[in-house]
Amino acid sequence: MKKYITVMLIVLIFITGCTSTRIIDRVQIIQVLGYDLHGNKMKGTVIYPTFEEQGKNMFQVLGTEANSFDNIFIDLNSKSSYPIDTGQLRAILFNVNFAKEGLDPVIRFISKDPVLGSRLQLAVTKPNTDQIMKMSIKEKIPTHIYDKINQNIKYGGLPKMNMHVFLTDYYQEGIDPYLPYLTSEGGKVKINGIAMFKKSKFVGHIDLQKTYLLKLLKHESSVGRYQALIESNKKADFIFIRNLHSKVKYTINQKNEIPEVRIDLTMKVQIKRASESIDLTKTVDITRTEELLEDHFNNQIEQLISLFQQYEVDPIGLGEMIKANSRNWNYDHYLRYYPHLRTTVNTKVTVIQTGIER
Amino acid sequence: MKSDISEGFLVSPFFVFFLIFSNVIGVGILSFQRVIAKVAGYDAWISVILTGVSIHLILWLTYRILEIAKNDIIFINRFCFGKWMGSLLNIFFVLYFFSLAFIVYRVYIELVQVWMFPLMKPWQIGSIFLVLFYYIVSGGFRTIIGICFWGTIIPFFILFPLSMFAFEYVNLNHVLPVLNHSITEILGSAKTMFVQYLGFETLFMLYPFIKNPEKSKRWAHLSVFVITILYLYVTILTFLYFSEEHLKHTTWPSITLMKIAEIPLIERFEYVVVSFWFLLVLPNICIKLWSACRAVRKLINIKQRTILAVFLILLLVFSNMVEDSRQIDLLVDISSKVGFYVVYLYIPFLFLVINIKEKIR
Repeated sequence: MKKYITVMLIVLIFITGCTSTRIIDRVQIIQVLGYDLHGNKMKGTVIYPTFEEQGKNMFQVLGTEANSFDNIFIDLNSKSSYPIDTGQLRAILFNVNFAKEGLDPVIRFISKDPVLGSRLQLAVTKPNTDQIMKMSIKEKIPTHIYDKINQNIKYGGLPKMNMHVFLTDYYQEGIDPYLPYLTSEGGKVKINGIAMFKKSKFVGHIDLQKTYLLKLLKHESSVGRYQALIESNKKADFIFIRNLHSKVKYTINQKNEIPEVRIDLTMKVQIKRASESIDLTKTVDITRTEELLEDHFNNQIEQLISLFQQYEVDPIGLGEMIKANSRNWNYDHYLRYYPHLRTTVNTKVTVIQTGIER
Repeated sequence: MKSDISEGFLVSPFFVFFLIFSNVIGVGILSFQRVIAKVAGYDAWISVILTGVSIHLILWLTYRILEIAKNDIIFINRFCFGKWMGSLLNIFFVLYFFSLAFIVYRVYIELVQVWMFPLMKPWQIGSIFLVLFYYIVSGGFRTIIGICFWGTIIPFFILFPLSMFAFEYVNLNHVLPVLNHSITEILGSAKTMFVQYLGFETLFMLYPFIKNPEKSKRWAHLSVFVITILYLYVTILTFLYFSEEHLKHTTWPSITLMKIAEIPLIERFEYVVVSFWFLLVLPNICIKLWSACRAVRKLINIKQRTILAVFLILLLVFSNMVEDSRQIDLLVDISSKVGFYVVYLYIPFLFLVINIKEKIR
């Protein structure tokens, strides 16, 4: 018996040598991947770190041109001293022109590869991606763009998004995906709103202010600052508010051929700064401010939705909600009536804090 | 009709809970959502409940048969169908248990290949596993029970905490409107769902090893109930997390769902999940192998360890012969068809026959 056990142990030990290994300094761990369009060729760019000594990382940019999406990895591999590994990939960037052609090959790639994480961030960039990457390298943090997007989802004006949300929205009928839109400003990468997609094709972008409205429409949130431009006494004025808690409810009326959507948005806000004409110590003025803000939000959201209807995109997912409320859902029919869909917005703003100044 | 197993080998009735649980929950729970959603779409969660209810009924029948016979399936088949016909059925059962074990084994290897080591050959992973199988199965019935305990605990430890991370991304609109599919479609999904319950038939082999078997009945039913709840939870969570079309493109929805989990130090949880899942697959395969071995031993009187060694070598050889996922799908398909007839045709039929035979006697 002892002999058998020894033989078994030896076999076990040697068999572990049969595994395929991926040793950390023998693979090129790429962290950001970017795609551009150069004429009729595609350009792929990656950032990878090289470890010089303890605690000191250098970031390198490697780019290659190829005639198809799938060839980019083969070409990149032929330029790299170690095999390229996508396990630590944090962000995939697309140039606007690339995104206009449609992201289908990328979607096929990211939904197949088991080593990619679900929290990976995708983004559309206005300048070429290699420029964005060169800017982000200066930050000395490999996950710079990824962190930037996540930070803005958690504390800022971006709605929830990552690779999983993008894929699920892409595949679902009655909702279109959206991605952050990156531009450059003074040598820094800036998130400048959201890129709208018609399924896989980029169609346009909206600014940060509108993006925040989209966030309010997408899900419950308790973060974000907002500057509302309002007109009081024929004078343009600003009210600067901070959202403490917002909630949104959709009611769908399907009596007519084209459904009607009623949006009820309730917000609890803190007023950070209001114009001189509003006296925050008076209850009357606070009620008036609330009314002004309600009008402002109703107006802005309706404008935003009609903008979406012009582009024929539906990042809010109104179609998905109509689908959930009807037993005879027809996607093609919905696509035809979506631009004429009627929405009414009903905002209820409550000012619950006005800061410490009286 | 008394069994000839000495007191020392018997186990307490409540262990039946662990036995059935770890025998049913295997690799299927990682991927069944996509299959059941094929027919009834996102109403398939109703099918999960329906299948659970039907399994309760079959389990009730199984216990009625076993209570009359007070022995295992080998004896029952010979008793009901005579020596030749009975032996033929017994050989079928040996093959059936073995092929169920083989499928779980091969699918788990595929899981490791897809998620962890794409270049690894089945025999490389397999030979390590087989040593463990030999150790456990040759250790006897009580060793298997010990492993079953872990097979029961682990899915709860893994599935529940990790699925919490997905709550952030659930969308109720995915499953609405409820009942938008016809009854036939929902039943069609239920038919594909029942494969996930295959394995509880090993009760036919285990029964003589249970002390006070009448008392084990409620534990068995409780086990099936808990399994149904677990399946229901996983199904509904998956449906809320993935949109319907996205799910169709996802081969292993449960693992993809757990990929969203991210905690400091362990950024990618699927490696942990796939590795831990082995502890769950282990008792699952071991019980089925043990049942097959025990059945052979009762048919022809040779040492159980010799039979086990033969079976393990067969596992190794067959697992290398099946190379791609299409062949695995084909195997799963065939075994699910056979299993369907065993569960919904053979067991009720056996119930009738044994009752008639008993009356005549």
